[in-house]
Amino acid sequence: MSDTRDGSEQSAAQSTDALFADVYAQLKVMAARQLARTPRGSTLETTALVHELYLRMSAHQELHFGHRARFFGYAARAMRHLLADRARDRLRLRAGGEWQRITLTGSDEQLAIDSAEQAIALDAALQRLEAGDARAARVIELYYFAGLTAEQIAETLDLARSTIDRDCRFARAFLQTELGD
Amino acid sequence: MQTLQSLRELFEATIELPAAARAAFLEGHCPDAALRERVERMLIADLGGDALFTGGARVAVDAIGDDDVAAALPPGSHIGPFELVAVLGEGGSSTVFQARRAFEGVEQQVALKVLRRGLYSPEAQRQFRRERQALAQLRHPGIARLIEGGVTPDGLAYIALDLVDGKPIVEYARERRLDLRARLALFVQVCRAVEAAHRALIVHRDLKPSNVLVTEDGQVKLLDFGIAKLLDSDDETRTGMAAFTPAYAAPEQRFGGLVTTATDVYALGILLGELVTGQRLTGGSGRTPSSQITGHEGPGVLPAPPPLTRRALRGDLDNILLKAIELEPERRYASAGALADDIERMREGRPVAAHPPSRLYRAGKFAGRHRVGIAATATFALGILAALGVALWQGHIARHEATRANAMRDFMFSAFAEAEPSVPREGPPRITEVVAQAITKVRADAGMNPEVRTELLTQLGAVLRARGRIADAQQAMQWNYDQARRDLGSSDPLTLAAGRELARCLMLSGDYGGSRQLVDALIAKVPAAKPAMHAQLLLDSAELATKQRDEVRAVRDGDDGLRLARASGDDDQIAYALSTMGNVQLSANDLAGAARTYQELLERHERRHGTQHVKVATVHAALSRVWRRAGDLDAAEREIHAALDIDAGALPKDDWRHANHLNALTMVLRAKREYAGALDAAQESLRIDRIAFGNEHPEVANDLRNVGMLHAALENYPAAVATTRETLDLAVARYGPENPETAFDRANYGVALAHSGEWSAGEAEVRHAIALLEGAQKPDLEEVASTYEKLVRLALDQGKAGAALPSLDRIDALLIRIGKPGMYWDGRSQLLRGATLGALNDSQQALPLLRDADAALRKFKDADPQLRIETSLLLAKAAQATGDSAAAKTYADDGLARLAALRNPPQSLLRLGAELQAPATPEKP
Repeated sequence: MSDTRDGSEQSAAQSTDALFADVYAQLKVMAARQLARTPRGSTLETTALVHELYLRMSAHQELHFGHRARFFGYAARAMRHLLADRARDRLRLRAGGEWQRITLTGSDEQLAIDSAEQAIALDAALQRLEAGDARAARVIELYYFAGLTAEQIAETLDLARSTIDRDCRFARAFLQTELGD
Repeated sequence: MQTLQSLRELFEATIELPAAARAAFLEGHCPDAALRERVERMLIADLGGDALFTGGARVAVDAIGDDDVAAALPPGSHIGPFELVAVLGEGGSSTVFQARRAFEGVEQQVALKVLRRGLYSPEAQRQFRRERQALAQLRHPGIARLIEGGVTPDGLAYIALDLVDGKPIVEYARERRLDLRARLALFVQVCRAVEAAHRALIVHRDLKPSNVLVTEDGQVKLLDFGIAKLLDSDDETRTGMAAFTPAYAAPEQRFGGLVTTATDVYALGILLGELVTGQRLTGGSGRTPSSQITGHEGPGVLPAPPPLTRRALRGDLDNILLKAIELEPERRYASAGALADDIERMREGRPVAAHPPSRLYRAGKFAGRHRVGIAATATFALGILAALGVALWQGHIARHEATRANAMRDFMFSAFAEAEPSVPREGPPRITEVVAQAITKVRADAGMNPEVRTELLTQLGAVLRARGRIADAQQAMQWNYDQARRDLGSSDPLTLAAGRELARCLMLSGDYGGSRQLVDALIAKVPAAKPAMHAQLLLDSAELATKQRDEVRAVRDGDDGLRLARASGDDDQIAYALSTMGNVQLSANDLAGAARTYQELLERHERRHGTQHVKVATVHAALSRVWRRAGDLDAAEREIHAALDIDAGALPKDDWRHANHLNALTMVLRAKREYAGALDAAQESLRIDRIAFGNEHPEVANDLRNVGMLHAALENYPAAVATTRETLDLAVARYGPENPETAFDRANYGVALAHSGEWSAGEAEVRHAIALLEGAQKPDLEEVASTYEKLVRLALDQGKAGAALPSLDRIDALLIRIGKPGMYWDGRSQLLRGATLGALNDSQQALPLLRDADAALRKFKDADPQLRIETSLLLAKAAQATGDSAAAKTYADDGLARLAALRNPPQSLLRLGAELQAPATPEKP
């Protein structure tokens, strides 16, 4: 990721964490608000959330990130955490072995648990992709978690559209085979 | 990673090929069977489209769904050491169970709150433990105790609290038909408990009747202190949306703003309103609480029958309630303690803070009552915090930056808590001490978020700077700016603000060059999207240019800054720009411009704040300075009296702004040569500034300097020696012994010392001062010259005119080097040399010099009247000596008449006059 700030690695990492924490907290607030407005089990519009947050933050001119790339990078990362946390919540209650009455029907329940397991596996696979091919991981994050189109990703990262397509294609195939194991 | 890279290369090379050619290609290019198998599977996945990714993450989030803690944890389940007994309640963020455990051989019953969301990351768990620890230390009889809390291995977070057997406060008051006095007493108990928590850095965030219980024996117990914060922001919001009554949530809480102690004050205000009117008040409705009593309340709802309750509320209690539920947090009471104090004041018939400031009201209540004593340390600290809170608000801290602001506030809380003296001492800790300690602490905290750190240090540095601790502030700000550049980048707004504060310190410590370099660099970096900061930097630059005597630049940057401020339409910014601009114009001697600027500022302030506001007084004082400089001393005196009259009604006793206005009065009276009155004003200003700022502040040094100079003007030399010495000591303490900035005070001290009889010691001090000035990097030549002038005067006053000659030569050389010296020098050097030559009996040479001096002084409207009299008298003497008795008489008549009219004439002039009045002893040519 392009970091325009000069200075030591460590302090750059610290301020990055703080920015991330900010975006994350905001997303959680907005997600919770949206869920509270709608009946349980209905759709969480992740893409809309990310874009709403972007508009809000840039309208206030308090966006410290400088440009879109960082913002959407953080937002995608935040969504990824959100999803993983939610998956862990679901599995935790099941692991307690006490999950008897629940709001979902039987088949929904199986779907919920499968999805939760898959979400956690995806998170782990993404970490492996990140370790070897950070750019491809970033592209797929922006696509999957922040809901950006390939065109938007190219614009955001200032890369050629063909590069994005190649990254995307590779990352998808890689992740799907990782999850298939 | 080598393998991933080769995997990708292989994958991409293969997909380029037609399907039929792929197997052969892989066979030929990939000897590693496992890798080959992987690529083959990826090719299949690639063909299969992206089932996994269709719809993005929302599909997955949706499928996982939401969970239900109560359903998943039936009675009998175990969490940590506790066994669940029954569900007590369910909120959006958590579920409360009655639970039990065996503890030290006894069964313990607790209220167990289980968080709906698990805490998985080590960061979140650390945060939870830290908060929990803070809560566990909160011990107060009015607060339900946190017994234990933890996170189970699978991430389930829980908190065990005292299980309180009590009734919600409103219900309790109604059932027992409590009267107003009893309700207020109960409410004050609530406030005191909240206050204790505020002092322990904890904000409740969710005060409402169901969280404020009263036990059978009348003890208040608050539940769920700070729990809202433990539950993290998403759940907090959910609680706000779904579970609790938004009626108690302050606006800043509902709209995601900065949560502070004032947030609890709002909830307390709504609670009190419900206790005494039966209604849930709404902040900002503008209706007095007493008027909302309908008369149809049920039994026990009101503390007394409706008409009596209305009457009891009208006035103070109405005002207190309205202040507590102001929409803007900074207008509320700063803390629960302040709210309780006001209620107690009301009950004792003393004036309450909630009342709009009206002199009549205060006078009525204050009759026969002593002033309130020194504030206790805690109150003091809370006051500062409130001020800091306001500063944060005024700094337009963004809503999404609430976390940062909270971190700062929390830090300040702890700084003040630690500033409690370990040994008993008189009075509260000094602000500068607390701030200096806080700075040390911030710098030592390597783990602090750099944005929080930068902003905190900038604010703390500004406090130190405003309190006159320039050297300390500069040192801290240099560090802050360097770190901010490193951590945030050099064009981050926080870095720019840090740089701006450093530039101010540099300017105040006299390093104009360094300050200029920095200000220019900052202006070059300020983003176009930050016009307010740009305007401020331009105004700083104007102020700096003034000090650098670059008047062109000062006026240009001031104009630009003012234009930007006007374009913003923000009244505060425009006012700030106008006052800076007025100052610049005053320094640039553009008196007409300054008068115009201040006149506009005066009109703006009067329109916004009325004629009796302290801001209006400040502008009157500025106008007084303008008129004084323009030579219209009567107008100057009128303006400053207008300012002082407003002070009497608008300012508390011993306010520093009053001292500032007294300073302006000192200057006017001094210009009018009413030295005794000027001395009184200067001494009063000094007294107040010492109280307000402490001894080290530049204002105090300035007052002291004025007092010393006025003692000297009144020729009370022993007092002048003592005061100028004290002034010099302060300057040395501030700048170091050999700093050119100390020269002026050293020269003043030398002159006083000499006149008190210690001629040679005094003269040595003046010479020392000259050496300091000449040794400066960029010597201020006019000041060097005027210090030589002091040496000349000392020589003449001692009757050693010959000793003055070398100094006179230096002055002339300096004036030539300066080229175009200020009006101060018009006629002055000729007069000095003429006086010296006259004293050396060389009247022939003295005469033309004195005539030149006379001509120059006559042209200069505002010339020091003392100089003109001296010139006339010396001319008379010289003319007499050269035998021109007609001219001598003309000069003597003129000089003596003026001398008679001069207020507070100095002894030297009186002696000169006496010589001329005595029968002239004819001198030999």
